[in-house]
Amino acid sequence: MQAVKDIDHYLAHDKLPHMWCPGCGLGSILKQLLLSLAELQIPREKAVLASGIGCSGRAGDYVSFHRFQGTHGRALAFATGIHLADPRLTVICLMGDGDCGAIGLSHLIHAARRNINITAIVANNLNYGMTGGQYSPSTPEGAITSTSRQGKVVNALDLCRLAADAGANYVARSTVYHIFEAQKMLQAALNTQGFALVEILTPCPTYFGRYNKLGSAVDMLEWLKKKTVPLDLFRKMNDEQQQEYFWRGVLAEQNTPDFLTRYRRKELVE
Amino acid sequence: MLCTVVCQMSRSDPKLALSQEVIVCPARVFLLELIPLDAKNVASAATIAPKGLSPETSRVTLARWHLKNANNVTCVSIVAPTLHWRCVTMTRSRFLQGNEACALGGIAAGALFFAGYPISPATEIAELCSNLLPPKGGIYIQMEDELASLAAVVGASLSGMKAFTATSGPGFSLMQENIGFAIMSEVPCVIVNVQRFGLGTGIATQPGQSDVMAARWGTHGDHSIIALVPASVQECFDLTIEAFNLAERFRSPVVVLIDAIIAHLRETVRIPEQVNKIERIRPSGPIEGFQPYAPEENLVPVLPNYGDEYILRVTGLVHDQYGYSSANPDVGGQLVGRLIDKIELYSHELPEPEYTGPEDPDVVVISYGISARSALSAAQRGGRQGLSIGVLKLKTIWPFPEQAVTRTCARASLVVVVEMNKGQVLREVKAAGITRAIGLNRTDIRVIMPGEIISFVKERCSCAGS
Ligand SMILES: Cc1ncc(C[n+]2csc(CCOP(=O)(O)OP(=O)(O)O)c2C)c(N)n1
Ligand code: SF4
Repeated sequence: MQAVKDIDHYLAHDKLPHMWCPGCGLGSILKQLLLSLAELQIPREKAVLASGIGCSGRAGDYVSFHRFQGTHGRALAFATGIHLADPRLTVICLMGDGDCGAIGLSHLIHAARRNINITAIVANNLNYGMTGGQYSPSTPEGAITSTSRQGKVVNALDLCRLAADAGANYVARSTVYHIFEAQKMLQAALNTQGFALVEILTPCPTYFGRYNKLGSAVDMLEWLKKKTVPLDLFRKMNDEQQQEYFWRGVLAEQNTPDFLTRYRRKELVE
Repeated sequence: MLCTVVCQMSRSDPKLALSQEVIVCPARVFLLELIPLDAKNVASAATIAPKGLSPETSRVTLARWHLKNANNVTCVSIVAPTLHWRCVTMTRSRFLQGNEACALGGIAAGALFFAGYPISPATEIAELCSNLLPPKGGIYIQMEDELASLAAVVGASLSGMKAFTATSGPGFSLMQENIGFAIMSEVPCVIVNVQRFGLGTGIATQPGQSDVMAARWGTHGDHSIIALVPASVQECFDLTIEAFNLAERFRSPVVVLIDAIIAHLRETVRIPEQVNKIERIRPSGPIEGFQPYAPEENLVPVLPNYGDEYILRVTGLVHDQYGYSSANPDVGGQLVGRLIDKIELYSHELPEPEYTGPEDPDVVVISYGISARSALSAAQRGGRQGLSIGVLKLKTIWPFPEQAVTRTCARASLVVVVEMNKGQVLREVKAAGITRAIGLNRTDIRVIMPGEIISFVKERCSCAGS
């Protein structure tokens, strides 16, 4: 087992360039994840990247360590087995907002409720990228997508609040624009013993940006900057204002014993 | 504390007629009695051993002493009164329910992980695992649904724990996507489907045998799958072990199709001290450039577990031998072809159907599960009434044992497939070339009774009148 200092060790160089669109934020998210692994000196053979199905799910093709890509929405359920059968592994789930927030939502709630020792990352591009820009549960109300040409009817689902309420030990949100903040959150999440969720808002210029006339990829980053406010500021806003913004920051940070610790201690189930 | 002597006796020994065990065990019997372990007993038991007799030639042979682990012995049975010495065997007999035997079989095969979601008539498997696994260092986890249950099982298997789940029709339907995933990504695991009656929610506690095709074709895409069908509580135990072994051998999910009757039936089960277990082997060769999905000569790859220095890349997308996803038509075609061939070309390694009956029967009854039990009884009774009925009891249902079926049916004038569905195996028998086969089917939760089979045969067989 050698300690890894830079992210080169974690990258499958021969698989690059990646398939993501120019200006897509997923590459930045992957890079921050790899930097966090390097920073924490997690050995290659002890890390597993379990991804969902979608643009973000392809991240596994670009890493040189253990990877898993299951069925759409089920990454956390597969990862639950991966972790429980070998708790020495650092298990990371990288999911899209559709993957985690629609088809796989119950697994998010239950993973958080169990406080299972997994780091979950939701790359929230506010729509279904892989299938061509349909609305997802996290698409803001009124946003244009290929299946909501007149504007989305229902308001957005806040996955972070859900996970925090369900009992996750660590919950935070940032954006690809605030990438250093995001990296700190990823490290904190990886250091968490228990369930951790980091949601990272990321530009999808190809679909969400184009449909909503948000301009170039750079313009979309600016949009993410303008559209987000720190959590304490957000809390002071009224309902109407809150509809206009996403909060950023750490929503939950606690140290409840994780599922396996409690399971082994009491030999009780859940 | 106990000492143990294994005593093998021939079934035909009239002295053993009193023993319950004689009825249960097919060829040889083990008689059980507890003997306290002390020097005197060891010595006296040794002196009573018949000398110079080999197991093959003797009717009563003292085969072996087992002084280790003898406290495993739990069951006392009747020893024929004329036998003046006592014998104890390491093979435990237990009076078990089918579901219990299935859970114990899985654990005996080395399973340490069970994820499931409660459903009748399979729930006892989960309940028993929740009691037995934690003290062994294993995991029982109740997931939020069956999709998650099989997902967790697949994940655990990839981290190196033998893993299984158990469900019934509705849950089995929910698992189908992940079954296909496990086939595609070559993850050994066992899925027990205790079949209930009907489609939809059916009747939760009543039996059916109508998930045969769901097991074969439930998941989308071309594929092959292994499915076993126990017809007794003993087979629930044995075939669950077999399922785990086959899952490792073929690196593929294996389905155990039980029906609600067998699952809730209670019978004596022989639990051997040691079972034959196939353990996962670790890859060898250079770590750099390792190709997890490069197949061996038998078309099965040797995959590492997560946590190994050999890197494992798993995806349900078409993937190359490195495990990287690929959209190359040749890669896709070869992968699907290999996944099918690795099972179909080696199907002779799977449990063979069991034939019971006269050498050249007029009637062959093909059946499985609880229906096969009725068929066996019908053949026996029919024999006494002058009918010549042979029974082919399936153990492997997928891949369908075509050769054994055609061989057995070759000369029979009447071939009847007895099953509690609308003819799911009948189609396979016909597809195997036995187009004259007819079905005795029932889909009303009632078990097909031996008398019904005899009447059915009598009505249709010209040989019946003789
Ligand atoms: C069971 C199932 N339903 C639908 C799909 C099709 N599908 C593939 S990716 C995807 C959505 C991806 O959206 P998201 O999770 O937000 O990820 P993104 O592509 O935006 O990164 C869908 C619906 C699928 N693969 N499996
Ligand atoms: S469609 Fe959107 S999310 Fe997918 S790669 Fe392109 S920009 Fe990224």
